[in-house]
Amino acid sequence: MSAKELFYGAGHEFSRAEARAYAREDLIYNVTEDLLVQMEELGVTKLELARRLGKSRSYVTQMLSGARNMTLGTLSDICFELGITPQVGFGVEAAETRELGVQRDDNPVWEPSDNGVCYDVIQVLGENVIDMRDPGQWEKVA
Amino acid sequence: MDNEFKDEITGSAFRVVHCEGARESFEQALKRVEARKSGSFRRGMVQQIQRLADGHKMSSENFPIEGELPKKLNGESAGHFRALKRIPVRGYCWRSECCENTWFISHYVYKDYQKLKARDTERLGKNWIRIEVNGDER
Repeated sequence: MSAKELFYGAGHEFSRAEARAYAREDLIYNVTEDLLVQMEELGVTKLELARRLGKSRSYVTQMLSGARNMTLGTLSDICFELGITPQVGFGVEAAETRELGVQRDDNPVWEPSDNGVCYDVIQVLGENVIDMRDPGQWEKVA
Repeated sequence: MDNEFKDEITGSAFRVVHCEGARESFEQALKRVEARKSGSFRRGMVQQIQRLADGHKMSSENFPIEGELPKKLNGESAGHFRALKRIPVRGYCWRSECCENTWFISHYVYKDYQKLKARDTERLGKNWIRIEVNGDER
């Protein structure tokens, strides 16, 4: 059962544009929220992250609120500065059925980095997986 | 077309229940948001509730502790309530002690002010007493 049912009537049909906006915002919200949770657990403030990135606090605030678009490069930079490794998984089934929302794994998708020497513990999230710990694979899709 | 709204949803970790009048208060709050942004605010609140229901960790930035719950009958503190925060909309909620794995959302407000208003603490408190003390369902 989805939270959509609290705010949209049972008979509500999403237009394609609305469904796409929903999917986009869902991804942005969950990625930025995961980053905020990681920062809190690591005790890293936005000001400190801004300092590490060489950016302003407002830049970081906008990035983490979703107000500013985050490129994959920026996501990688943020993760690098936090010492965590992002894993990106694609739910093929979700895309085919055009379900609203992003398929999420039950396990956390963020793991503390151990300087990149953890290639043997790749966690398979879906059929198409970009493992950012493998530079070769990452370059292939960049 | 059946346009019935659900009063509660169950995610992979929690049940999330709208108290009576909660959804209507959301619609009221949304009326004060710019029309072109209302769709995004609605989707944003759905996403937060879904994440809460699925038991994923929430940041204290977007899910802060807002105020104190009423005291229990024995005088002990019942803890605090939180807010699902989608600036400028807030959804005040608490995790139930009497209903296992359940969050209740008391109501929503359009919050264009700094401090929590007494009337919001009061409204949430009444819902809390009705449910946690008197055993009402929502």
